Amino acid sequence: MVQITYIIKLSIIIFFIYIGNLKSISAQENDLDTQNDTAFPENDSSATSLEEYNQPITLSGLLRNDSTYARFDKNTIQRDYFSNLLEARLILERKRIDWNFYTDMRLYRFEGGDKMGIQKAQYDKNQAKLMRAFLRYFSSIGDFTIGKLYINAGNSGIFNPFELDKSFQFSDLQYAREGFSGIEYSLPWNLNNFNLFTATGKNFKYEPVAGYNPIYGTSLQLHFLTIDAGMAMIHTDRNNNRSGLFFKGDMILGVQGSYAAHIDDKIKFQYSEANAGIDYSFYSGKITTTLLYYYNEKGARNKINYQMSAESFLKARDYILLSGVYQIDEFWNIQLPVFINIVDQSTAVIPSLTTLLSGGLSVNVQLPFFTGKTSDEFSNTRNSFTLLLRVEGKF
Amino acid sequence: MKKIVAIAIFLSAFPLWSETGLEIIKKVDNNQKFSTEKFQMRMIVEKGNRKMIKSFFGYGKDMGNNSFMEFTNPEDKGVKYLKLNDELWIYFPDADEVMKISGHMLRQGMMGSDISYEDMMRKETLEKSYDVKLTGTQTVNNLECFVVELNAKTAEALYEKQIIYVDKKKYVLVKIDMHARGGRLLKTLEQFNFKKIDNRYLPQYMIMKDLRRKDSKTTIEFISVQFDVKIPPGVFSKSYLKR
Repeated sequence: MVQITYIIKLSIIIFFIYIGNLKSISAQENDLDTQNDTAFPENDSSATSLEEYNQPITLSGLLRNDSTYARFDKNTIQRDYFSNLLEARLILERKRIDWNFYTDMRLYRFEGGDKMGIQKAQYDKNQAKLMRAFLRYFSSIGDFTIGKLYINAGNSGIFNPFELDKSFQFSDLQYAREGFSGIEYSLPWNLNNFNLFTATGKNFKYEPVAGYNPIYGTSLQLHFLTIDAGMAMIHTDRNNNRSGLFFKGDMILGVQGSYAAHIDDKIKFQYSEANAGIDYSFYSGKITTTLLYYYNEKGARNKINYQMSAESFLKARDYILLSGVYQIDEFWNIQLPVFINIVDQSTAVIPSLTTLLSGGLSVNVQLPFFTGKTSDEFSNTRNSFTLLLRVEGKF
Repeated sequence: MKKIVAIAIFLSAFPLWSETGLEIIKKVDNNQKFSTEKFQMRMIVEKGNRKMIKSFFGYGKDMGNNSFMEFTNPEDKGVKYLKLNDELWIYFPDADEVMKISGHMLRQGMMGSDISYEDMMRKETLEKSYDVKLTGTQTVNNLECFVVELNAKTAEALYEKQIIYVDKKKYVLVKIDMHARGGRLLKTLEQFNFKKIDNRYLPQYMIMKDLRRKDSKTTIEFISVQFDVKIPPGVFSKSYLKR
């Protein structure tokens, strides 16, 4: 009965997003029709540069609905699981020549679920998050940003050793992290950049799963040949400092690597964390493949020591991520990330299919499965069948 | 006397063929050359009955070797691209992050379209990149065209072989057939409604078809284009992506 109610709600949401998008496309097509007669206007009144881009505040957003259904084995307490997470994102933005203002607010409504670990238990029934709200000022001596912002040293993306928030979601591998109150100074020159920041606030509430709160940090990134490389240091509020090196670039293949040494406030070494990877695409970019190795000395070397920690994305010491993306055509793509836990040889496979229904509206279906034994991290007894349906509309 | 008339008739027809392939593509290149450009465009990606529309504006320099683009349609609003020679960086406003994309990804269809990042952002100097052979004439889209075969002579050439159809009057590219190394036809590009802007002829829209994709096409509509204009300082830098 609960499922039926959610399916009805979901259908209504999809319907409204779809209608909204049809209207949007129709409006754009009308624009095209009228534009054909007036292309190359004699007086270029179109906003094509920042000088002309001084606009009043703009509002855009996103509506996303994740429905998860899972069927468990007979031995588990609950056989069926259903949850629904609705997210509404509102983005207010204003751009000027010398400054810009950006806010990203999110509202969540979580229903159903048994909090057994499929859908992370980080959602209260209703939740509001101010992900980011900052003012950035551009000057001849550097760029200053003040407000709520997320600063990420090193290479952005999965398994970044410098990541402060180590929470992990299989259903959304590159999800945006909530920011913290702070001030950032950035001095760019050519393709290089020097960055300095200080932060306040205790944003991470979901201990011990989530991350550390930064106090201050700095990074220097330089560009040479086809490589971006740099060094970073971040001091946090938990007797932990991380400093190290990172690079990303091209050497026929795409290559990347990062190393962070964790040291305490008395400059005593705690542990190492690193990643290294390559990527390449085939058939004119239709197939993209990635191989990434992740090492975290703090992770368990034996499965009996597995525990959730704010110090590692997952529980073990070594992982390999094999990932493939197949762009079938303009509207369909298949993604196949495979996480391999090297310690217990279990795997998490998250095949997904995404289709764009119309401008801004997409549907994603995920069918994750696990291959490990009962005591393994990616245990096949966690659930025998899981289906996640994501509908996302942007406006 | 009859001989003289015959020779005169022959010579009057001769100018059509007096131009070599090289001379033709020099004129094509001259029409395409720019030091800087500023553009606003709309991209319509279609497959069967499905359609998506993307709009963007940007700047180019050095025949597109350096370029900057910002998307303005709702679903991609604020996503920005910076391409410097063979390197590409993308800015994602959601995460406020600049990400370096591997060079091989430049061959990928831009935003899922038939047009790769290379096709979109780089303009080739044909004379520099290809060996040229004039093979004949043909009518394409009601325009009398020279047919010129181009074979890559440098590794920088975007395609191994191209057949270009050049309007005899305006020396603009009416159609391009792009071939892979094995000779297979990969893509076709057709350009329509040429208008004269600042001593150059420019199409108002063009249609790209990737023949490996069934029943699909991408239309690029030029809303405004300006050449050799002043570009805001710092556009071709990573820091500008966060502006």
